[in-house]
Amino acid sequence: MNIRKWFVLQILYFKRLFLKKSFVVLLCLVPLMVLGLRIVASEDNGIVTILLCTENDRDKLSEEIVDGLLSDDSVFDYKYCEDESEALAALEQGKADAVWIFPSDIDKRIKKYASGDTGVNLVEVYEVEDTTSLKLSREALMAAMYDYITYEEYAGYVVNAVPEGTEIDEEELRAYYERFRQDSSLFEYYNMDGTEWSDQGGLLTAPVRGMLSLLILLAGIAGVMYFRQDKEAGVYEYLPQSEEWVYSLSGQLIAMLLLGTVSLISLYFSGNAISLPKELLLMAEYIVACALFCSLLDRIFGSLLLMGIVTPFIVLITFVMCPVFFSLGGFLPVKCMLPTFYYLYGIHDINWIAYGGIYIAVAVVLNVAAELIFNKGIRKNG
Amino acid sequence: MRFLSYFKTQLKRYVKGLPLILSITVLLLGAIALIAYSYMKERSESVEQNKAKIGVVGDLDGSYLGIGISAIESLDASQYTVSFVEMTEDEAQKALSIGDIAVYIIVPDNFVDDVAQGREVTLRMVGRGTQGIGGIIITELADVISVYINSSETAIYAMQDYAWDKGNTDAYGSTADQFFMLEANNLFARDSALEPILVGVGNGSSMIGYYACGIFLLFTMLMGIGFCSIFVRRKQDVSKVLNSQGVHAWKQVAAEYLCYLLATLAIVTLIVGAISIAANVLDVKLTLWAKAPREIRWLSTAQIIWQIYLKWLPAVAMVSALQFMVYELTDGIVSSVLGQFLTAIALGYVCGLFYPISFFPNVLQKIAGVLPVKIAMDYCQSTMRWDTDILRLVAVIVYAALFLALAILARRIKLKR
Repeated sequence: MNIRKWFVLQILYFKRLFLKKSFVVLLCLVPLMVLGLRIVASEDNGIVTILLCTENDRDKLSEEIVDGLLSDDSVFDYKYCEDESEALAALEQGKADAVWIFPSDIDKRIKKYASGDTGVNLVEVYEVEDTTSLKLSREALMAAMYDYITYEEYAGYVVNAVPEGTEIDEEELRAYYERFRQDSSLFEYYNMDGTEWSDQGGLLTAPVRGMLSLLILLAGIAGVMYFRQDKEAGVYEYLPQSEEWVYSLSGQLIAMLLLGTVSLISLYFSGNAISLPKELLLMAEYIVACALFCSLLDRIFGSLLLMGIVTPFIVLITFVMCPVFFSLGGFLPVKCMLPTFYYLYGIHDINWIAYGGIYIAVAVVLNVAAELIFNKGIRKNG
Repeated sequence: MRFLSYFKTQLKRYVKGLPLILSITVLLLGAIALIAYSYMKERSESVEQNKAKIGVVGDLDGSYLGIGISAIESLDASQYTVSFVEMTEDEAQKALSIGDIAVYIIVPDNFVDDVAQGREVTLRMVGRGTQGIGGIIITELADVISVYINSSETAIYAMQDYAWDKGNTDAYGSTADQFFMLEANNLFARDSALEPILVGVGNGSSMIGYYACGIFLLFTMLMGIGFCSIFVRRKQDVSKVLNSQGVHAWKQVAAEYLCYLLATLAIVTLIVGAISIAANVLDVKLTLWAKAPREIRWLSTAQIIWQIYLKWLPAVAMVSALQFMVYELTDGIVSSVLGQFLTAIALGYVCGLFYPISFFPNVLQKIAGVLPVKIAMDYCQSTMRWDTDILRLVAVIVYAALFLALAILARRIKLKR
């Protein structure tokens, strides 16, 4: 097949897809949905909702801790609730995940705890159930009080650490403590490629890239199905059989290119995009890898019905194995078979872009081998 | 009569493909179950392997970082999610690259000296982006470690300097050691100071129960893609001829939807059957609830699964109606498959099938509250705790009727073209 003919074929596929109104609507819908998610994501949200109450709203220490938590930019959604019984009712109704009640004598409790009497209960904690997120929230609560605890540890201990008869001045004690205070975080976050962690999109838009990559993969599979449908309808009857793979690949590529473009736009809308050249490189590699993966599936299953049946499973396996929503450890050989894995890992680790290249080379060899084994055999027998 | 014969014709189309669909579904599910089982078995043998690993590069001896890390590790080891592994930078890079560790922390060589001299020190945490919820939890933990270390250091250095200035010549020796012990003991005992009182109410489902509902609904939605070969082969001309012969749009849609629903039910029932048999054979104890309902006390695991599944049938019917409507609204195989997927993933995500809905902002929670998948999810959860939410059941049925009405409308428009 010459270049001109191939080019005409691409235009035909392109035109054919755009003649379907629902396809155009879907293409427009994707970035709009992502944009909507981004707008909604700008609202306060957290992995759990925690209601904060104080037994005595004039208690300075409780107020300080509560204010600190409320102003904290954390993964927990803290809300102040004036009435304890109202907060507990909200917990029972499933409107909150935990209630923390700060006692009026919290300063005394902290002093007691700092002195080594660790049996004391610092804050009354009510939870729906003991989940990992709520365990983590209790760590955050302890962290919010920890500076007060260490100060009391220091102030309480220093009485015995100085020679007898030494007069201890509270202000002086505080000044020594303040001199060593460090408020900045101990950690700086970097990606493997040296860039800083970006949290622009936040929790809600974090899985957008993974979901879009699945959409592109699915566009490739749908392209293969389109080809199979045409073939079963006899569309390619009068065309050379040796060129069939070109038609199959063209159908996939056009669908994936369109979805890829829409996905890139959506990624910028979501706030999760990295530099444009790297995005383009990754996308180009991903589309080629997906096309070869889908071609292999086509050669293995070879019918519209079978492709339809295996597609939900491929989607589910990709969901679980690739870091779309969470990262599952192990299963490296299975993960390495999926093109989405290279794409999602390649974002911050350049090595995986190179491995993606190897994947493409191996997939080409496998496709050629499959073509020689299956199709040549069929043609000979035919 | 014509409706019945059209229904029979449609049923034959499904029956023709169904043995293949069922056998491949069983094969694939078997393979997935085998992998999942071996994975769970391997993981359950080691508590350490259940945790997300964080690599630590550098020497921790003599630094408070070691204390902060041990403090985090000490928290309820049976369930908590992170463990720290010491490694070289090369090992850490390789491990991170293949996903064996979630992140690694680089402790600089002069870390201890810098800290001792009161210099501001930072540690590099290297990862692969925030990675959604996992990464966000790790950064939250890192913030907690930061506070523990900074505050402990502040207290100990202040104590040393104060005691020294007041004439304690042993301020940096055993006095500091004893203070350090007090700090460490208090830090390790913090769990008891915040002992939670479990109310055990809320929506009544455990996290496993919640995800059981979510996975069930997601799988049912994704199953729609599996039937694309049957849907895209429908002929517009045949529909027009049938319409002219009295099999109008609503009759066509009703017959096709019934067949689609029956085929979906056949697959889902097969899967539920396999799960209930496996659960009985392996004597699996179900942990679907925060507090198990009284009604299940005398039921076997298989009986519980079947009773829950039977109550979920209206939700299956509604989801099938939704998928059927999407097929009716899209044309061509590419649009149909992508439409199915987009519906499943977008509704699934927004309605909390992947993350609990409480993770999302209030606005989104309110929007999700009126969406069909969220209503189906709430309904399924209510039936799971033996407290069927009638209002949501009605909403599920109304939504199913609405989707079918839209499908009929779309068919009528197509027939008029």
